[in-house]
Amino acid sequence: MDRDVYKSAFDNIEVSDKAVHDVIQKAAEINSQKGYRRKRRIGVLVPAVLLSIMIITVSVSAATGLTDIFSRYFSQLFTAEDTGFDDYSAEFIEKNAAYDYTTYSQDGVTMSIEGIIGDMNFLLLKSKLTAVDGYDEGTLAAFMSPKLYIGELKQGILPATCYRNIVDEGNDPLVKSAAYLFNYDDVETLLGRTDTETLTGKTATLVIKNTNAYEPIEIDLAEALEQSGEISIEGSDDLNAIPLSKLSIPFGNDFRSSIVLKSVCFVNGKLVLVIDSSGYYENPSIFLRDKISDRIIYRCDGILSAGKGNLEFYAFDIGDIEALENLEIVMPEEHHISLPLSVDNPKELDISGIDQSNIKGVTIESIRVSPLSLNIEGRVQEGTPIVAFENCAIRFKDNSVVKYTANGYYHSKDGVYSTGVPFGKPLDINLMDAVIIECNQTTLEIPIN
Amino acid sequence: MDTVDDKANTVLQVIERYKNTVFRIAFAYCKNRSDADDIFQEVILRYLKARPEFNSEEHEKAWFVRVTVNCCKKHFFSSWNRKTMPIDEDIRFETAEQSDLFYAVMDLPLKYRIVIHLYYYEGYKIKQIAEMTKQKETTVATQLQRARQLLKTRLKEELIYG
Repeated sequence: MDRDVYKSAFDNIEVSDKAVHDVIQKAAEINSQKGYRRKRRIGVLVPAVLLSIMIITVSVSAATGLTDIFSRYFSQLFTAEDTGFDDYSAEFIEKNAAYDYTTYSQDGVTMSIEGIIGDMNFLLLKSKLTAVDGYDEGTLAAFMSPKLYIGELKQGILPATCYRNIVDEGNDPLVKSAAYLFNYDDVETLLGRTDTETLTGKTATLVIKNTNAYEPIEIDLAEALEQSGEISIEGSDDLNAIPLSKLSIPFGNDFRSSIVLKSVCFVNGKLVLVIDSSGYYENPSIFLRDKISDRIIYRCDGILSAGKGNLEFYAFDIGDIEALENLEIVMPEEHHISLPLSVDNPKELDISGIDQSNIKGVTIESIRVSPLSLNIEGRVQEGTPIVAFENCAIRFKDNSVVKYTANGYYHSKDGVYSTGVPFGKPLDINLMDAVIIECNQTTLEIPIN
Repeated sequence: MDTVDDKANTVLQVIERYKNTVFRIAFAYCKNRSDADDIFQEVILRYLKARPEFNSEEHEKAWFVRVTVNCCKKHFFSSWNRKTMPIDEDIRFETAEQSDLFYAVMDLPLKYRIVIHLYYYEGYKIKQIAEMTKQKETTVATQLQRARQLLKTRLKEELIYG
């Protein structure tokens, strides 16, 4: 078959601008709800939520261009929000933090962790950045989007929300404050259902990765090649044919010790590093750098890197083996801050005196409240169409009532359900008077103290 | 430093670069625009959610192809989509040769269509297709050979009886 004819036939198949436009709209709408838990929903809730998204989408799409939507979407992803977090919230974290002050300095920038509070749904962390000689913007961007790793999980969580300059720091351009709200929902499939028991005792590691800067890995490539036995394969691109040597050189101490160079060889002008990685690194970003020109050499194989078992093959087109002398292995600069993960025990409310007879098919077994969210758990009888706590509210002791939206719920096959209601910013439980929830057109009021 | 606009532009460029690759693979699978649109959207949303880091452009493209194939399989094997879908009629071709070939490919069994597309349109090697579709190289090679044979027969028939 003629490849050109095939290509020209399929060139006629193109995605429509509308489909591209729609997906960006959808991403923007989903992202706007990202701070909320995205539990598995069933039944009629899904169409209801989709309908609401569609209504917003349609009304926005008429007036907004793709670029605007993109900017708005990425503003949400990459920049901080200045709203929703106030002096009160900042003070609250500092006062009630389960973990105290720690600082971390790198390249003239000091990050001070000023407080962390967490519950079974979220982790909220407040920090302050101080630069001695101003900010390298790449470093600042890296500090503003840290990833949180829990225990030995390879998958990190990006902040669902990042609040920047939450407190007036006296207009000092060298001091910036930030708070990050992490949602465990993003790793719940790996962790299992998060709760006090599953989270307590685990180490949380904040990884700040600066992709604009690289740091060298202290491995002598020429020596490693020699130790590998100067393996050289000509006439085949089959990296799987590379015989493995007994080489075992870790990429460094601490975290990078889990990246191990297992072999170096030269295949058809390509330098191939055979890497075994585990722990926090899954397919780590590894590059070569020309020590003279500072040029970064990216791996060239892509798909061919699948490797054997845990081994990953990194091929770099360096042309001549002589070039090896001036090359070094580099990785994006990373800063790691390890923190003991602490989950505050949420307050269990007494529901024994609550009349649940009107909420047919549903039994509430537990209501817990923490400074960050409200959790409702119970059972649903078979055949009950839907359990939705769409309208929840907290009545405070000063008689003010603030409504919060439940963010969906988990509903297992055996009828156990759980729903989370995030508050958005930390609240003092001592100031709360009652939780008000609506379920199946019945309003229940549960005293907090 | 990359500003928000820079980052938005970078991602926009990535989507621009792969939107048709994704869509064409999805189309080769589903044979209609509506389902291909759905798969395209799912792949892009996965990309925006994961924002994976790539070591090279080749690596980046492979990610899109792999995720698209996975989304296609998921989509196709859901009970709703097991029914036979008609070929989208709203396609214009410049030559009869293109048209004949396109419809002959669309007439192939599903497992052959994707292999043919990745091989002939995207230019991937058998080993790479095997990795992307999680099949043995020998299986891909056999599928490719049978697909070629079927196409040859059908295009010949087209020539004689068309």
